[in-house]
Amino acid sequence: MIKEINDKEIVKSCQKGSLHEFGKLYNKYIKKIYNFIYYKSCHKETAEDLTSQTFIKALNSISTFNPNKGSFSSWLYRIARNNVIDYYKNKERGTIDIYDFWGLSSETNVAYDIDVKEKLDQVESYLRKLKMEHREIVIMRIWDNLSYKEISEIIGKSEASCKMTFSRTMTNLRKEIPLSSLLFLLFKTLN
Amino acid sequence: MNNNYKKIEEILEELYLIDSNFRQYDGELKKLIKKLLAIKPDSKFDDNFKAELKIKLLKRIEEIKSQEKIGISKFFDFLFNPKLSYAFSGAILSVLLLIPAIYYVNKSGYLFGQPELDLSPMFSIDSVSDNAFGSLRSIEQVQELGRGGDGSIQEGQVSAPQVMPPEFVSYNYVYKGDDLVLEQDKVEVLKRKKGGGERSGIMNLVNSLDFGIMNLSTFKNSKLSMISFVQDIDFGYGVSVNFSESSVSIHENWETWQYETRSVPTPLEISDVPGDEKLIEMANNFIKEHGINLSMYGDPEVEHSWKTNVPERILVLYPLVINDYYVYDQWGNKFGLRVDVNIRVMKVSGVYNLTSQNYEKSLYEAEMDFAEILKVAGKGGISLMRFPSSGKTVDVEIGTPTLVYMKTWNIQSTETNELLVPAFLFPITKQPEEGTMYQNNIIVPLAKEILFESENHGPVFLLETEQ
Repeated sequence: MIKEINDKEIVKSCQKGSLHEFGKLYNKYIKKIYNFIYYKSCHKETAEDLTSQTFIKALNSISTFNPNKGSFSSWLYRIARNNVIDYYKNKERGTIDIYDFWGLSSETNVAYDIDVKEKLDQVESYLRKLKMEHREIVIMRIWDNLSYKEISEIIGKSEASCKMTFSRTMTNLRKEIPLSSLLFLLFKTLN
Repeated sequence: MNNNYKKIEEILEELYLIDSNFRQYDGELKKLIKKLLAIKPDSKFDDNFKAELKIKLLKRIEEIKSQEKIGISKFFDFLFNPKLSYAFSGAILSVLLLIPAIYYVNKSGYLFGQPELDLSPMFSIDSVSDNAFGSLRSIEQVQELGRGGDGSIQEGQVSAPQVMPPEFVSYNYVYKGDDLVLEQDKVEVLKRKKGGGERSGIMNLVNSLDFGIMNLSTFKNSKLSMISFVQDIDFGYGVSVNFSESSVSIHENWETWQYETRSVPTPLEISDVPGDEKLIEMANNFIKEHGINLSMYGDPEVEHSWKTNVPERILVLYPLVINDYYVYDQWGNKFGLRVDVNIRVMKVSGVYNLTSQNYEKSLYEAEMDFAEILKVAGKGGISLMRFPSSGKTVDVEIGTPTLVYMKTWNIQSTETNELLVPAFLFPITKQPEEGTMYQNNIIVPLAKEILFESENHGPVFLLETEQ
């Protein structure tokens, strides 16, 4: 319903002093960033807090954003990702790898929404077997619907590397999950 | 479902480009991706959270601006022009020069205490109890005539005799869209909060002035309702700040807008009309020059409903967007910030509907029967001006509606409330072959009380043929 927003022009306006233009970027990205963070934390309040921090940081730093170094979208997602990393860094975690968001979600006292548990269990049955970075790329491509180019800018890897990782992960998943299980789980989900 | 299918195909095509061997596992991969999509968690995105965070961000923007001394003070840049003229020169000059001083926040704070001025560009929605605005029906049947015009007709009154169009065609709006099931039993109606006038600060200053012809301080418990000022330069502007309505309007200072065809205008041709890009550029430049906050508005659109009679002023509309929904008037036209461009002299001549965007929201009973809504849509919505039918009825097709806000006025005994009511906007998908239709949409509000009121469709304008 609303025409596609040209991020570059909006950022330029903000950097020239028309900060209220930031509202257009906010409207465009708020749900995407919230979802991105939610898929890592699986907890509504945590996702809302970290989303707030992301946009406030972006607003405070908009004057320093350099459009020649990448898109605004990727920059915003990077801020969000870093906020999630910092958040879990500050929590007690024992020997768990702080970059393993999914590991933290299920193995520590980090809260997650009760009604997500059933789906998490299903998700864990295959995604958990994956390396964190591979899992993250699969989730960003399939759930966040980000392109390989965007994923590469967010996690700091080349686009080719992201594509290769995704294709290898899909191969592994296909091999590890028998077709019968897939059909069973698909049937269970539909019912 | 269709979106998922497209997404799956897109991901598969990408995989095949990476490694064509994947094609032999097409079926399995489809099921795998489908499963991964199916187990995506519901993120429970909350619109209230979105609105609250937006308010925080707007507040932060204001903090940044005040630190950089940018923002509202730009509105008052006019006042530092030494050529401004006033009715009571010295006294009014000191009043008006002090106004920017009050809003020009410096380290020592405000000069006359903080003004109670609700012209903040910030957007806010405060929840109140259900049915908090009382009845949504006006106590009198008053309708706004035309787009942007003023006028009222009381129920039962007859307008002055007018000529009835010789071949007036009635329209029957036929729905050709999807069947919809309505599940919400309540809708959120928004009421715009207004300033109520300025009591401290400026008003105290006004009371203390002695013009020599009367004593203003004898009017106790006063509040400032409006101030206005004009520029005394060629093609200068006049600005009216309405504290009661929390609105600002900008218009030509007609005394300074002198051009050859002002008094005796010559007809304009289609070739005199600049392209949309040019009109929008002019409007944008004016907006930028005067620091008008556009955060609540969508991309500008040029209004072309004038069809063949070229007007002197063409409207560039910045549609109002609330909670990601466009706002429409009762005739199905987008509502928002209006910038008029005078195409004879190629200058912006006015800005209207610039108001604060602070609301209260209250839940009201919703119409849940789609058939009832289609009944009203079939008659043309709630604001159709009906003429006695000439007997000729033509079918007009309308399509699947989208959800929008409808702006309406609720007139009570002591106040007029501006309401935004969730509504269905039905696009006219096929114009009739006969008659001249100026509408592109039919709008039907979803609040049951307003829909019920509209069943009678308001006053019918009685027309008599001239003898």
